[in-house]
Amino acid sequence: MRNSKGKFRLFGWINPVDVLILVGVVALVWGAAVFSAPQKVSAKTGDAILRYTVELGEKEEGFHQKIETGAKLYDSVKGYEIGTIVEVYAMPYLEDAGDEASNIIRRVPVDGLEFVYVVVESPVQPADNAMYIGQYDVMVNKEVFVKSKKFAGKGYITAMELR
Amino acid sequence: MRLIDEKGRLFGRVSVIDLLVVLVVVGLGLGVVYKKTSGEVQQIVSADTKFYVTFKCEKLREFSASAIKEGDVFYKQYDRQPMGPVVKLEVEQGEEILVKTDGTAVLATLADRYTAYVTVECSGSITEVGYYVNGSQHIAEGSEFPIQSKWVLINASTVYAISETLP
Repeated sequence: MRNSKGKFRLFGWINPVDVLILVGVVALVWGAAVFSAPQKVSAKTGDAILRYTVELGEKEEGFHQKIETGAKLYDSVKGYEIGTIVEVYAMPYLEDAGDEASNIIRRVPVDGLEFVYVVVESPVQPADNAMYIGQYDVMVNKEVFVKSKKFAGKGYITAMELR
Repeated sequence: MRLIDEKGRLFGRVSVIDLLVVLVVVGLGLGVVYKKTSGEVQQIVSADTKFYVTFKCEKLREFSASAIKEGDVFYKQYDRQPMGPVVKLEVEQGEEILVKTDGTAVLATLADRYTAYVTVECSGSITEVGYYVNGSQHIAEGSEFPIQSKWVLINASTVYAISETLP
């Protein structure tokens, strides 16, 4: 319908192009808010509890003492919350070293460094191809980048157990 | 004559926006034609066929090697469509090149790492070009092919062998 000036306007005064632009902007803002917000972990009907271990490598001796049980653990890349820390322990850090006499490469301890093992529990949605904590998949041997209030590190998932 | 007039028309005649739209549509059309006509049509030798793919998974630490089980269904990494179940699993001591201080190099035993040969029974198709799993995923001996199951992810995996009977 056209207004008195001959321009196309809805109900005589609303520019349809303005409406389309407004709808597009609202959709973009909504999408940004939904997909960038930190993911919360929440148990849903049918969720199991997954207990998994993250191994952080090449940390200075004593690093494990910074990590508190009961703290939330997050994925450093996307900010997803991926569980609660239930246990922390350390083992001597090992690195590959070649024994030229016997042609064997062994893992040997390095003084001053440690492996830190962070045991985490979280509700999980088991799928056919992986275990999912929301959109975060958990598998043994997956390289992970994690953080909590008092530490950050990268490592690998070394164990998983469904409870 | 100005190149673009005050109404956004090239040489006063053709709307720049209209011209851009036409160029995009023509470009898309040319792309479709090229895709359809480039390359020969592959002859499918057999579809919905079972074949056996053995993946060589190297330098696995003990926790990874022990997470692979016969019967577990494996996928290509990040795929949702399964390739098939593990029908055969062999694990042996790992090996790696050791360069010595005398300038020689040997294949040394990796004391704390393992190599797993994981044979998966796949369903797919066989064409003149080779084997396909999950419809369009080409798979050939020697290719790097990260795989995962529900429990474990193996990045360092290559296709070691493909056969039409269980090896």
